[in-house]
Amino acid sequence: MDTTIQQGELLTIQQGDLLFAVGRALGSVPQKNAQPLLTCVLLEADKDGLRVTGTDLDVTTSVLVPCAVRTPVRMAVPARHFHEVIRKLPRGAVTLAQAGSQCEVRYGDGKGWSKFHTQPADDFPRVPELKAASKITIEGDALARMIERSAYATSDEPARPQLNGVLVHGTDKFVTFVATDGHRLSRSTRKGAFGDLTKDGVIVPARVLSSVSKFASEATSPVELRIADGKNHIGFATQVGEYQVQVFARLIEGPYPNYEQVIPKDNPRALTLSRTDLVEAVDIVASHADSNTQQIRFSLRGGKFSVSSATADFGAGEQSVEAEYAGDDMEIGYNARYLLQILRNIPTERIVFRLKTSLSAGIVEPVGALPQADEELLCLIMPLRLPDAVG
Amino acid sequence: MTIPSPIPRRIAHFDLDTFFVAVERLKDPTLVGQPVLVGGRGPRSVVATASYEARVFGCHSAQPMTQALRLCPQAIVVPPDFASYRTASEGFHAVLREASPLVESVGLDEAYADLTGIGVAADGPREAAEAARRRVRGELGLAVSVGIAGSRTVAKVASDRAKPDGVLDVPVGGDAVFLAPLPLRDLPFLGPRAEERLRAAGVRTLGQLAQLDERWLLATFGSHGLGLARRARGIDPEPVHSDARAAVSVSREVTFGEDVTDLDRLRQVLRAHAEEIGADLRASERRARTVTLKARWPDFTTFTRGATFGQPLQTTEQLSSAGASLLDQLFVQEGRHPVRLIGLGATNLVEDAVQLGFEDGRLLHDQQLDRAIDEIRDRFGNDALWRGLAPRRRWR
Repeated sequence: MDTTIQQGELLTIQQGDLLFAVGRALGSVPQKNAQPLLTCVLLEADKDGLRVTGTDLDVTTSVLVPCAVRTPVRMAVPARHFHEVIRKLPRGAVTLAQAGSQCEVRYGDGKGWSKFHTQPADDFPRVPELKAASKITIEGDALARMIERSAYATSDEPARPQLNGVLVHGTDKFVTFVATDGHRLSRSTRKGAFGDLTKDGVIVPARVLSSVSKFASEATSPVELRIADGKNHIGFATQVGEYQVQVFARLIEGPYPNYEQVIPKDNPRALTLSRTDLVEAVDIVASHADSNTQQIRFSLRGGKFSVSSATADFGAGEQSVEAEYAGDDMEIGYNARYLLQILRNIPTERIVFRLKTSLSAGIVEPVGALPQADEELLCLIMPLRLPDAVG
Repeated sequence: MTIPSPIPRRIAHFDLDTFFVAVERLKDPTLVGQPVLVGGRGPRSVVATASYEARVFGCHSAQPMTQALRLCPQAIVVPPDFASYRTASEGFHAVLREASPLVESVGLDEAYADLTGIGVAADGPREAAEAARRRVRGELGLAVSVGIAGSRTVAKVASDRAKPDGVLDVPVGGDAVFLAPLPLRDLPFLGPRAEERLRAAGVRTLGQLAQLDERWLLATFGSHGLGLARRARGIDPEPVHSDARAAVSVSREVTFGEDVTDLDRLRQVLRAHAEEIGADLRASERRARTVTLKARWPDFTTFTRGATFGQPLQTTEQLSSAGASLLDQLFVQEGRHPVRLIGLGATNLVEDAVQLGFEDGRLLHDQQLDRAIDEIRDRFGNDALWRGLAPRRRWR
């Protein structure tokens, strides 16, 4: 191998390391932007290695990967184009070099090269500094689970921005992730001491959490959440093997609605059944539901439970499901999509619905302990008002 | 082996005779035998319905009221009372729905019913239609004319020719023969421009239209031309759609006697529209995903604005406030103008199943209020109860 330093050579890096960094940073790069600089990733090389950063100004992802740096450098390359090429390069070492205003990637032991136009890096947005931050530390897999069990219930309607995020709050004894869109709610709790949590907590945009959950599940060290003093930014940092991954985001301004007051305290009717049986029934019957309202009907009559749906356009269907229920007969309507999302995110096989009337919030809970005994989960779902419901 | 002869398709078109006038005469029997015009009295009002006695003088619906009164100064003008018309219309449709499972409403006073295979004998459809006519006459006091034929098009043409208070049963297989001598304008959907082109080509009757060369029709009118000729031959496969699909929107509009500039007054009118639309939606167990506003300036520039909601609307309150904010939006975009006409519509209708939210106390309250108001009006009439903000006299 030719070891002489060629002109303009900046650093040498493994293709796999570069691809990981660029791929993750790309997650925060907007598809299109009037500012060409924002469609770039920033490459920064110094003694720590190569840092690749992408941002849409709301969410910033920054990944530090090891490499052999010859000359420290900062430059911005078009993110998608760069990623597209790096992805296809053969495994092994690649060398980044500066050729005038272009970034040159040499690969395959001198077999080939690729050149990219660069943008002036000085204007690239700064990664937010989280001054005097409070700190929370959660194991990666637990964080990924809590995100998965809550984030689906966020709203994407801009009218109530608070509901576009997940409320992360707690005390020195537990941390809770809560999300609701006003029609359903999910509250995921993990017991333990995790750091500087407050009751008011912070609202983290759902969008950020989807990229966080990706690296949290593969994290090899606990994930550190740092919340800036003004509570306007949050940073997530962890190690994935040799890689350091960081995600920064603007927090959603609170206050979060007082969700605890909507959790019913006295729902006397308990319907206990198999989650997989119910998922099957709802999934089949919902094929007959109105595509808009997704309305299905729970019928509880004489101790028998069935799920049904009927529309002028899509016909009708009914399936009975074995269940334990002692209570007055009742019928209650639900949006099948909301229900399935809840059911699919409960990890136990037995579940219980705690109901009161066909117009009030129902609780859906796992029966027995979760696979991780120090975790809890509670879901709420509001019914669809049926024009002719009984009970 | 013999192949049983297929059951012939029999479609009936029911059309209530001078519907608004007939309802007014039930309310006020002194109007019987008099020339009656239903409509407003304002300078821009139009005739909604003219009685046969007024038609003799050349009065007809959609005519400016001032013109109708010039033709027939002795006519009695009655302001429309849509609440009564709707009640009568519901009774009419209920009778038809008992006559056939397939009924499609095409207005307050018109409906198609598929009578194919009804009854045991060949004249079963005709007997069913006659029985429905008797019930509408006996139970509602209204005269309804019926056309029965092998298709919707021919049934409609036949009901027109059955008026007043008659039945025209076009014999099975005789649709083309029935249409042949009729003038072009009798064919539904044949517009004045198409009629002009056909007349220029020497075509006077539907029989002549039916025999035109398809290539000429295609070249002159496009594919629409082929459809016209086919329907002139009595061929129209369009089925009768059950009402579940038929109604796609509910709307109300009003033209003011004098242009209105007062924003509060406009909001009041929108609220009155919302009140009626809401009652309609609730009665038919539907909700609207989209609310539209229609406004016309004095120079006849007409605007429509719409808003679509994730949660379908039904309460008067929701419809009214959606209308008010569309009006605000229109004024912001187009500037404030005097308003000649204002209308509110509910479209994109979906089944009545509303996803409740945790904070729906207010919504449930509004729904209960609406239901209570609807019930009181059902029992004591539309004027029994008004919301504080709605104007009592809407048709001035």
